[in-house]
Amino acid sequence: MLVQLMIGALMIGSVYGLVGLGYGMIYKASGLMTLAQGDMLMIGAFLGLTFYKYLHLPFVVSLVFTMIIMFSLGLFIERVLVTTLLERGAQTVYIILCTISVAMVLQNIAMFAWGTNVKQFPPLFKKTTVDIFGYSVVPENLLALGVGIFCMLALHFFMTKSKFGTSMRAAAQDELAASSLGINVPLTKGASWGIASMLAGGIGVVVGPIFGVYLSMGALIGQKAFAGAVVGGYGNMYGAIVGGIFFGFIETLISAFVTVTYKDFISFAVLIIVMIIMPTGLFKEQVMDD
Amino acid sequence: MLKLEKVTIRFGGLTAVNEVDMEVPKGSIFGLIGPNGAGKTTLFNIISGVYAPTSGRVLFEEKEIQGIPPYKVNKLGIARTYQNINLFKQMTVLENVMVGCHTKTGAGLMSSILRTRRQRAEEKSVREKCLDILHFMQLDSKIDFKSRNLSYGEQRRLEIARALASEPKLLLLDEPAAGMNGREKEELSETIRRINEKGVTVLLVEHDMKLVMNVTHIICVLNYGKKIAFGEPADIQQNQEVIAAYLGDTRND
Repeated sequence: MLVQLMIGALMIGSVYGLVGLGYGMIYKASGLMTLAQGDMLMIGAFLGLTFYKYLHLPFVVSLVFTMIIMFSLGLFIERVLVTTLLERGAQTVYIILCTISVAMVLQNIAMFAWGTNVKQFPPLFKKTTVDIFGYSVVPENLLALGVGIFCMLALHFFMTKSKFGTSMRAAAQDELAASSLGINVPLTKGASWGIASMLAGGIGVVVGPIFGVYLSMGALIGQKAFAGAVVGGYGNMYGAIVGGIFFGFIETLISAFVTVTYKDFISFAVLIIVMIIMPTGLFKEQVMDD
Repeated sequence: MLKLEKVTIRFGGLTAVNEVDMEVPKGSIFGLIGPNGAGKTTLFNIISGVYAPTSGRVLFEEKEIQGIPPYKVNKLGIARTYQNINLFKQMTVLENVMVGCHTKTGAGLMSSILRTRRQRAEEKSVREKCLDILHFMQLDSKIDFKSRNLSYGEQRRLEIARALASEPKLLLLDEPAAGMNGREKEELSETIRRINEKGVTVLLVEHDMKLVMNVTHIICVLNYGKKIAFGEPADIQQNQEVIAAYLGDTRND
């Protein structure tokens, strides 16, 4: 029982972490905030469902296609909408409003394209449970966890080892200096929005088979991922992951041992307490003082 | 090498740089001086692509470069440092310089993920090149330090090292001696000369007159956005208009 719980908590925690990481990336790269991550996840889930269920593509191919489309969508939002607004002198709040509008538009597009019912993924695996060291675990959970861990590692190596990732970090730390060293800063900013929505969309595809796919599926995950990003230290990628996993554990343990009905109430109460005790988050982020 | 033709920039009603003509000869150490607010840094920002001039032309090796974004200006061979130090504070000294090299490396994303042999060879050569530059700037004992933990003078030297990593033909130094003590300033003059000896043309904005007079070959003086004098250091020191600009014009009082 405990092992299954831990795997469940890690799974949902890495979901929050990866979606939350997008908030942090965008904030760090462009100093802006998006509130569309949750709905990016929802759109990703619907796209994945379409590729897998209706177009009968293999799951991995559906996942990759979805991530490519979601990357382009994120890039489009930054390069076209956000840049245009900023060029016209819009303040940060307008950008937040713009992302809320994008979220609404996405929800309505999804409603129009896929309807309001909960859609179920066909089972991905033949077995409903697999045996791990004598414990039976739902394979879809393991898949989500595996994809989550893979994405985190891939992103870590991309950001620290690759040329473009290093350029992105440099541009996030000092835009002016980066651009005078030959780094295309507008492109690194666009890419950070692209990666954020790509991760959210990809996660949507792997949680779809677990929770089902429906219009409001992104809302709560998006909020909790945001909470995780704040608890971890807003703007810190690794903090968002730790914060997300922290939230995943709190939620899972509360629903297992205390109450399922009020788990969100307690989780968010914990968030407020953490904010009071540690106003800078678990990992103090230096973006603000620099 | 670098030529400005009637470069003007206005911010609202303020004309920060007014019809400045200037030519930086290849291989020189060129000084750009003037009292506070004379438009020196603004001119720097125009050359490096941060601002587009309202009118006028900027020619680098006979090519018009005004209005093109900074990252493209860098690719043409112009690198710069900043008056307020703009380092990547959370990266190490070596990483800072390596970012400077990045535009010169060819390996793309796929080869960096797959760690191909070419990629590894390139990484090694980039690292060695950066270590050479850090040695040249006397920072080799600090390579693993986070750049924010360096002393002020070291941070200024690191900015120059990072700019050199992009292999510029023209190096713009914006007040590199600010905040340095006497000995550090002397070392800086020596460093600027050595950079110049390597074939890099240097355009220097500096407040410290002793350093400017000591190190530059030609000087251009700005006041209120206008060029008021141009010539060799010895002539500039005798120029009445320059003296008036710095000490205040007594004739009008």
